[in-house]
Amino acid sequence: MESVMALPRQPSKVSVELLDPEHHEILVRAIRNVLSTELAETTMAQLVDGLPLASSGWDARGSLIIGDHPLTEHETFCEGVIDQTRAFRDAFDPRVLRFNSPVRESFTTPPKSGRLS
Amino acid sequence: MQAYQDAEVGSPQFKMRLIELAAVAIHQIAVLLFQLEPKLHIGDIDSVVLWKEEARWVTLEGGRRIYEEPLFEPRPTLFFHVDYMDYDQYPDGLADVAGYWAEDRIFGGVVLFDRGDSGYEVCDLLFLASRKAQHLTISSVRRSIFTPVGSGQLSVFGGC
Repeated sequence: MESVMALPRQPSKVSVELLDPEHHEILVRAIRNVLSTELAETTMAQLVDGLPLASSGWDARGSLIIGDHPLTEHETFCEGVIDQTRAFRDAFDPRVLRFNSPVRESFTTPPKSGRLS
Repeated sequence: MQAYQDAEVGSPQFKMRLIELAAVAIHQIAVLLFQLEPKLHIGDIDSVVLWKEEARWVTLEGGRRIYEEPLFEPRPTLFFHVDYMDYDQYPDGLADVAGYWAEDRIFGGVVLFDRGDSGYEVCDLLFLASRKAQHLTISSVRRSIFTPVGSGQLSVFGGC
């Protein structure tokens, strides 16, 4: 038993499915709302492309982009990038996400409802 | 996520936990997309990422010639946040760096949490920005980290 007690307290990784319906619905809607913004689409599209746009390269603190850098020519997305980004977003299943859920200390007040474990 | 579940819908704690989970979600989605292959970029990505200026001889005013070399090595990715480059320590490595980059682009900064005395609370939210356009707010974010909770200019909700 002693060795079990000595284990460090590690957060377990849980899925949105463990939430009660109301909390679940609000979180999933929040994530989808963020993803549906043009800003999120443009951001995620750069990851799908594989290179950031030149405009992102220029305005990053610590940027090493200078006049001759080849990224300066990357001003628009390559073909199909926006379509694939939207396809990924539309097919995205929030159940693949994993969130930390630290195990509560036994002396804390138990929650009123919907305990996850 | 337990804390989000425990919070009453609409309460300040609920809102903070909701933003926390949304930020975690965006970070994870960026990690997934960073890892996704193949990339759609037409052309060689590595040659752009690893590009550096060639060392060359430069003639100064007065005729003296010096050998000029680039001061910095290129980073292993162009999806970076300059304050989050310890990718050898992150669970998803360089993909996590891209995750911080995406948080910064979408939320206006990497979303940070004042975890309170227990280390598990969310007492306050802070946004640590990377973009040059937000240079002024960076300092105020930093200041707010070192002043009492809730007094930061960019803190969303104050107090535990």
